[in-house]
Amino acid sequence: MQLDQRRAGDALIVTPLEDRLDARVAADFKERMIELIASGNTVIVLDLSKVEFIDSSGLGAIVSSLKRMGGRGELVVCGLRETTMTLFKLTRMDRVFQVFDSEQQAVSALSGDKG
Amino acid sequence: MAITSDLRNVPLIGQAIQRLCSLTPLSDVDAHQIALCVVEAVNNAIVHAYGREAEHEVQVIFDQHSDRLIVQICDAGQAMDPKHLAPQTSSPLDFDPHCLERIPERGMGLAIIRKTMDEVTYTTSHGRNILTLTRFLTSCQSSIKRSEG
Repeated sequence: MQLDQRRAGDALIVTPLEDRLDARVAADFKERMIELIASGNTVIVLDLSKVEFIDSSGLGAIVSSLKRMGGRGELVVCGLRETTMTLFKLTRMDRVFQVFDSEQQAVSALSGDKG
Repeated sequence: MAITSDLRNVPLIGQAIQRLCSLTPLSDVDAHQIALCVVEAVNNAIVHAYGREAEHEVQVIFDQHSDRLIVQICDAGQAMDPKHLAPQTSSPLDFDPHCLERIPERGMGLAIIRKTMDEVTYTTSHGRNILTLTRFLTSCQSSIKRSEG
């Protein structure tokens, strides 16, 4: 799957460029995220603004990425649509992940965390 | 409608169900949630019932009544253990969000279905497994259930 990556300060912004994060692509997405984490990225903003549909496999891959960080970094989410936010709430993942409306808010909050 | 048991075909079913639900009184978010449940059920049929083997058939039947939607997901693979749908079965979504290792990475599909739909039943007869998902359209009971979820 296609992932856009770019830096904003200390954070790596990761934007999946697929409209569906589902069972077809979940394993590939997870592998790519784990590579990014293994290469030393400890502050990641996952921008899901282009994703219209997430199923439990896609959500599980996001959780796997968080677990791979092992509590030694930050993986936050931004850009959720109403429908994908509903999934986060339904599965209580909104209590696990910090969720921001926009990338700018996420980056700003993470910079504030450092200070 | 029917697809062969390949995960690449599942979006077609999801999009078709969402389009059909959009023709009902359901909101766009509810239509999306029902499509998600059907996608989860079809994924389970492909991955668990057919063990990811291609060239099997998964059939989805959409039926709208005046007061409810009924969607049936049918396969002819390995039957699901009915205990997964037993009322007393604990949900993988009842986790401690502060305990990283307990946050589920898999097994959430059926829990999502159970939380979203008003009725969920599963039958196996003559080698055919049928998961039946029901969503009431008019009763306030369903919205109360979801808001409490």
